[in-house]
Amino acid sequence: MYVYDDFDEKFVRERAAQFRDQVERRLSGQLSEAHFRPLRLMNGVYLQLHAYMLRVAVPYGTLSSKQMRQLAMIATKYDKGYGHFTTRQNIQFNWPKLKDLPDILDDLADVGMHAIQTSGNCIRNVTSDQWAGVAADEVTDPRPYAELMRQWSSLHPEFSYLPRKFKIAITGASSDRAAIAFHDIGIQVLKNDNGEIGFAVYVGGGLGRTPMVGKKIRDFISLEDLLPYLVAILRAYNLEGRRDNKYKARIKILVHETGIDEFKAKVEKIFDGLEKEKLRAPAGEIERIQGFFALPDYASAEANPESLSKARSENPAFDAWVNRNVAEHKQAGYAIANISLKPIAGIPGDATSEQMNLVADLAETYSFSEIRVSHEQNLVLAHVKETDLFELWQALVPAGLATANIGAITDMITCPGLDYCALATARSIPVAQKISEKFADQKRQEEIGDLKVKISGCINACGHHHAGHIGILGLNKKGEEYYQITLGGSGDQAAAVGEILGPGFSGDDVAGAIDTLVNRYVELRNETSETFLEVVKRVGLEPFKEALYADH
Amino acid sequence: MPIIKDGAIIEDSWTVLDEESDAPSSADIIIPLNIMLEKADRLSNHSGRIGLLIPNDVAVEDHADLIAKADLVVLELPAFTDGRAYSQARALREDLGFEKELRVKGDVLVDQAAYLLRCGFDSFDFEGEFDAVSWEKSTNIMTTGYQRTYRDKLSYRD
Ligand code: HEM
Ligand code: SF4
Repeated sequence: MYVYDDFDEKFVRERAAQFRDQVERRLSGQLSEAHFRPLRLMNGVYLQLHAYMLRVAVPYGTLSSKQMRQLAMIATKYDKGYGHFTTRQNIQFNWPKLKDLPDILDDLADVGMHAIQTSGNCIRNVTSDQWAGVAADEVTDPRPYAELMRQWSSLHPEFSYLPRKFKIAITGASSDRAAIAFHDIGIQVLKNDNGEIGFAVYVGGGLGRTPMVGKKIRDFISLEDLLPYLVAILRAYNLEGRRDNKYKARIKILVHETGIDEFKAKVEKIFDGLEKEKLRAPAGEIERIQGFFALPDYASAEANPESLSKARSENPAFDAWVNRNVAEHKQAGYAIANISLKPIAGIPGDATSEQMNLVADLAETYSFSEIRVSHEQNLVLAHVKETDLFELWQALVPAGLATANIGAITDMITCPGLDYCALATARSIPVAQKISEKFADQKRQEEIGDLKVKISGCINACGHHHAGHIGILGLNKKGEEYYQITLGGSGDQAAAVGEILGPGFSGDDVAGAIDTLVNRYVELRNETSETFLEVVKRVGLEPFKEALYADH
Repeated sequence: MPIIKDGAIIEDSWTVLDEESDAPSSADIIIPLNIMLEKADRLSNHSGRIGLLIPNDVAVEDHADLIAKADLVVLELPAFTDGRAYSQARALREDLGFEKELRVKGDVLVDQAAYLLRCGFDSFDFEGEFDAVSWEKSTNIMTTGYQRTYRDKLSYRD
């Protein structure tokens, strides 16, 4: 994985010093909250309901064991002993004090981390496929290009006061695990007929109150022109994006109102006029970065080892975990082990300091000291020998990290909601907990199969509810929380926005309603391999509406 | 309002021409773009220098000829959160090759000065008090950056 050189380190240290100065001016009253706000936001500091919140960037979701231990240390020293992994592959600390924030940034800089641009109207942390580099269906590892974009977008002098936030996601695989269609810019790495790397570029996707699927703006942009092309898109947006209404300020609205053809024409015109040479990465830089993402030194390892099948047949719980949480690796004898942060009835995405330290240790022992964070709020050990899986699982069980539910109904994305968030209209965590309890039975989860449930506590859609096979949106009517259910959303390569089923449900009734929908699905499916989403696409919403509302 | 250049308040010779009045023909005048477009011919015997004030909803490429003749371009920052002038400045400097003085006018925060300098501005006409110490600090705290812009003094792996 990428390791800072002296230059990168100097950069984050200077940035931390700059923020320390800004915090001091705020604490002494020299800076007003109005002026401090955009400055703190660009450093990942939010004001939540009860306290400040610090969001730390985990660039494209890759962490080292050393970095994970530092996050655990920060959670213990400055917070309440836990952190929250987010849908943008970052980690949030919910209870730091303003005066401690500069010290936390210094601690992060010690391990090559920062909180730069994890919020604010600027280019946010670039996200990617959590299986990057090891997925069997990948053209190439997208992370060198994500790292290039991370560097390029950091404290960008031109693009730090955009109309609104700007999110970029990149994938190198044919199955999109990074939801690129729901980003301001989505990038798919390709290889052309000459074997050269390039990128298909999508623009104008997003969730929030007006969900939109991104539209293709370029079939193929060459590697050397990637940064100039991004400059052209961002310049068009910076100059023309709406600033009169913050709800219409995202690039998706500009693209929608202008029309993709006209928007593309504008971008191409700017692109043609750019003095491109200076905007490209310096010579040798891409190769330098790529060097860090060379595959680790895999040992020759036995594929489908005898010991694994034996352990599976003797331990049904382990067998269930392998079925659900272990994915195919491109190296024979190795596997991708996904660690669920969705224990039954737990808080989705939360991890305690002890859990973080354990995962750091296990990564060191079994997975080349590398950890991934997924946008579905789970962790990944990306290079585990098949012969080590059983030992790994045994170490995870006592820490509550062996829940066998990746991609299953209890593996929900859930935003912080009214328990933390100042914008929330309803709670989301308790609803997720109730659903999780209802479907706790492992066998039932297996019968249901792949089903993505996503929950947001307000229309801003941080919990991706629009992209859920079942989406749940928490709202508020006359002081009562209630929940709207959507069906048929999808965040993958066949991206779609879910459709609203009908009147909402109270917090107590949501889990029951989901149960009804799931039972209806089981009745409707032609064979057990037909997934929930496939059934919704085949039969439409009617049968589900009937099941939910017929006797109401 | 004080004009700031190279981290200090300077004496400034420019005056902004308003809709009606005509400035003495030897004065250094800043002319808003819309007036310039209407009255360009009446300025043919103006002997003072001419600056151009360009609003932030204008595409600078569309006025390349006027800009090439100007001795000063002033761009506007109506609110410190409105970042359009940053893009206009880079387009002026890097794509249109404008080499004369570039000034920003408006709600400039000291914490933004470094970015504005990197985008190619050289002078600042801003509301509020100028504090040379915090200006100095905020414009020098970062010595590194991952972009190469016009006359950028920051190092980028070099
Ligand atoms: C203090 C807590 C938070 C606040 C105030 C907040 C605010 C917002 C707002 C206002 C939007 C809508 C933006 C728009 O449509 O223009 C949004 C979208 C979003 N946020 Fe949050 N958020 C918070 C926490 C989170 C967390 C914890 C996550 C990750 C788990 C997250 C991830 C996202 C995502 C993925 C979107 C939608 C994608 C898009 O940008 O269209 N946010 N957030
Ligand atoms: S969806 Fe709403 S409630 Fe949930 S985190 Fe985002 S802003 Fe807060």
